[in-house]
Amino acid sequence: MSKQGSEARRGRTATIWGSRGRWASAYSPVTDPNLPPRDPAADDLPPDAPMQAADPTPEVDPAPETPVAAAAAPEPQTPPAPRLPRDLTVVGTVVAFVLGCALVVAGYVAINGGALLAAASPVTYEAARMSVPRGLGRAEGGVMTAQAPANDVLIIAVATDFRARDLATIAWDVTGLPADADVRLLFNSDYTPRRVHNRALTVEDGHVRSVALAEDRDWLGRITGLALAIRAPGATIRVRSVSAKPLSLGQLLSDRAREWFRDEPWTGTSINSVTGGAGAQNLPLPIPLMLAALIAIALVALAARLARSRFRRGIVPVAVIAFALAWALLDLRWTANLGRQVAVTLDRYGGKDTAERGLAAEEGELAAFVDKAKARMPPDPQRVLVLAQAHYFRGRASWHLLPHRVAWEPVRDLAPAAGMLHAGDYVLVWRRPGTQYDAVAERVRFDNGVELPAKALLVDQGSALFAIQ
Amino acid sequence: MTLALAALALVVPLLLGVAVLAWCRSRAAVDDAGIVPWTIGAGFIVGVLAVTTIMRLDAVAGIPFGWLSIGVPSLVLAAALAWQAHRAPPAMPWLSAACTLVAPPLGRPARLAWFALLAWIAVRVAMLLVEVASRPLYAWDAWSAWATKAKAYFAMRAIVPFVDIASWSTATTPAWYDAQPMQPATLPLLQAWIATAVGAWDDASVALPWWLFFVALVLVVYGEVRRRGAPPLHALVGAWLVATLPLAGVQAALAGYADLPLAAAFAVGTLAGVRAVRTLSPMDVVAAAAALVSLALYKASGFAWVVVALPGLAAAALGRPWHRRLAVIVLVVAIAIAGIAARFPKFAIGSVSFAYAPVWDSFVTDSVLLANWHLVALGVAGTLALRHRRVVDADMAPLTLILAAGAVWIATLVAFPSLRLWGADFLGLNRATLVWVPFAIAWMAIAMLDAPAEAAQAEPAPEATPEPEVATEPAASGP
Repeated sequence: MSKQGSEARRGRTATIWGSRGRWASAYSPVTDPNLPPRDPAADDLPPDAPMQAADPTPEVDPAPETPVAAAAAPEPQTPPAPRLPRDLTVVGTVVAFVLGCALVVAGYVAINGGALLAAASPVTYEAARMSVPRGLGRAEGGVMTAQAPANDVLIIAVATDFRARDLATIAWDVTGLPADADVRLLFNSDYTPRRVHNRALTVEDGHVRSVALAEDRDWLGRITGLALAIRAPGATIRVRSVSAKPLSLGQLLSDRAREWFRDEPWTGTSINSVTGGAGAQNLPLPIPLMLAALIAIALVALAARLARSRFRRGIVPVAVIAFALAWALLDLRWTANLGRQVAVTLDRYGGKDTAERGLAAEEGELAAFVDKAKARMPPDPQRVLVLAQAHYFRGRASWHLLPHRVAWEPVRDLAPAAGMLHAGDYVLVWRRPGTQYDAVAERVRFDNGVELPAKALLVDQGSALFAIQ
Repeated sequence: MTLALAALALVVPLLLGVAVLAWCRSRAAVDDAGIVPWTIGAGFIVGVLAVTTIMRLDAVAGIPFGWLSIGVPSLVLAAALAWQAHRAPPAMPWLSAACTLVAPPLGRPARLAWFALLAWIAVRVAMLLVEVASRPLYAWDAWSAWATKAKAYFAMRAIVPFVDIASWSTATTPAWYDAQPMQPATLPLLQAWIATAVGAWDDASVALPWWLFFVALVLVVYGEVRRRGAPPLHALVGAWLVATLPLAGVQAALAGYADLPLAAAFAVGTLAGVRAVRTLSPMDVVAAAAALVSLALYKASGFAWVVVALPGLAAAALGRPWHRRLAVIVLVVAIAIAGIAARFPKFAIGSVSFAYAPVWDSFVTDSVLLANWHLVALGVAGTLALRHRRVVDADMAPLTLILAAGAVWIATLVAFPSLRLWGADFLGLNRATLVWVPFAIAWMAIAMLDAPAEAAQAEPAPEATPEPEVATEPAASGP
């Protein structure tokens, strides 16, 4: 095969997978008229053909190993090219990626001052053992519910007894913290019994991040008390437990894994963003996988410098494989979450018809009420104004009322302005205080003072349908 | 029964779009590799536009919506075009595509990877189908801004006016209201067609088109990368990356927003458009034109993505000498936006203010730390680092310009939140990014290919490097 023929074969089929070989042996024909004709036989190598025949890759330093020089000056007695050693690009990249993951984990444990093995088992203090020395709160059903004072700090405390050196990570299971809350961890120890130390905690998505105190100069002796000090006027805080954990490899990994694989069901914000596990994460999974991929690329690049003949495909396939591995691991997590969500959806809606699905949805009661209301209205589209406190219910009621000509205020809960409604219009009120109906005078009065003649067509537990007269 | 009828209804735009593209292909044949999945994917975009255009014509003519006024003309038109395409060779390589699917011409390890990725994609698509077919419309705008119109169109068997609340209050003729009355009617019309075909309104079946938009997007990326000369496994990796994008999956599962259809139309419009400008192949021209028109007809802010596509299309039309100039123009636009913000912080056009209030931190969190896009940010950065010559060569420069223009637009939305009135909903920065990301993945996959020979030969660069990239950079460039 001449050099020109070799170039032709490389042509448009040369890719990240290497121009030929076991990972890219034969391709469908490319019929671009501008390309030189391909030699199908050259592409259709048997899958198990030896690498020497199947993959004279262009990445190899051409001087000693490719037959280009020989092809340029054909000689009948050209000695056969030396057999190339097995290419290790793919296997090497996979191994390097695993190594990269291990290095990232090791680095993470080291940065957090962790150890390979745990010195003690974790200790958890439940809400029942907690007290509220400042502020108001009560423990019920395994949850300490407390209200932060308007002008003071809320303190939730628990007496403890463990060795600081053994258990250096403190994790509060707390919810309901406003984003701007000032939250601090208080602790005292038998080493400094007269002092209460405090450390700032980070609030994320209503929770606090766990804090590692292994390097803290006051985290000494036996810890005799832990407390959470919260300055968030008026906020209602719920605390389930506080745990003191060892900074071991297993503990750190299990904590992170719990965050990464926490169920993330559909919510109103899912359409805008996918978190990927817990709302607050100490180490989001894309970061270690990204680092592992970069380390893998560096390791293979280093290996390629030392044994070029074993890594002939170049850096691009290495990068692609490392990238795909990291992507696949991330997507396994997402697939698992999606699978859980599909199971929930099937459990709720599976096998139901349209009407049953409407009743099974979050606002099933509202849907049932709207069905009753629609039955009392003419079938052809009428003008209807929907009033409800929450915009969600205003919107959903309007949705169920369609194809009637429904209006609702998407942002604020406003009563109808004077002149907005006319005879023949309807008003649907869903559990909204402030609307009064005088059945004798047949008049409806809204909280903004607007009063209209109306007939109540349906009244049901704080909800009603009025026909404006 | 409802699902079967809905599936039948969904097949109508698909058949019509595929027939249109197959007929175009019969006018001027294009290469075979990847053409079948590409035609199916792009065909759905074309078909949606065609069917909703028929519905618009029905509405103008006062013909009520129904099988006779929508389904029959669509199917007759599809049959006529398919017959014409069948009579004029070359035929669509359906059989060859099926063979590639079940018996790809690959070595054993690559074949294993092929089937593993196919299974991965199939599982994802199946899970999303179960979710879409079971759950009533869930996401907020889906039932407050989009399907509202569809429900009214279906009930009235016509296109009825939607107005804002002030106009609703004072309307003297029948007028409907929803949360976004200014949005175009195309997607609601598609939902209305499904309900019309089924004969009843069903919250779940009207969401099925979103699942098909998702599938179409995956097919288009696979087909496009194949059409550009990639081997099957290479193209499948690109398709797998798109199919596994979490936020794309969410948009399919919680169907009803316009962003996933926009992403599919943007991918078709740009990828086919760049080629169409160069080759004038009827198939690409029609697909690109339909997709670009669809961008503006899917969502009011979709026109911005047409503007984003313009630099790349212009680069493809004007040739290599203009690539650098157009890149400079894109850069100047970016700097001008920043300059206006710095010099005139109170500058506003109508209600849209240019006040600089960036949310870079949350954007970076969304793009890198959270699971929205997996590792797309790393992929784009890595592609730029490893294939920097390839991405600016004559073949890829137009696509890279579109990528850059899209990045500038997203950065503008991040920096000037008020501009999101034009480019995205206030809460939906990720939703705007969704339009760009599948295209970016296709760009990554194409960048990993060597430049096609004709791009280097046909357009010698008068001012750039004398050696085309294909000659200087080997297939998988070494370290």
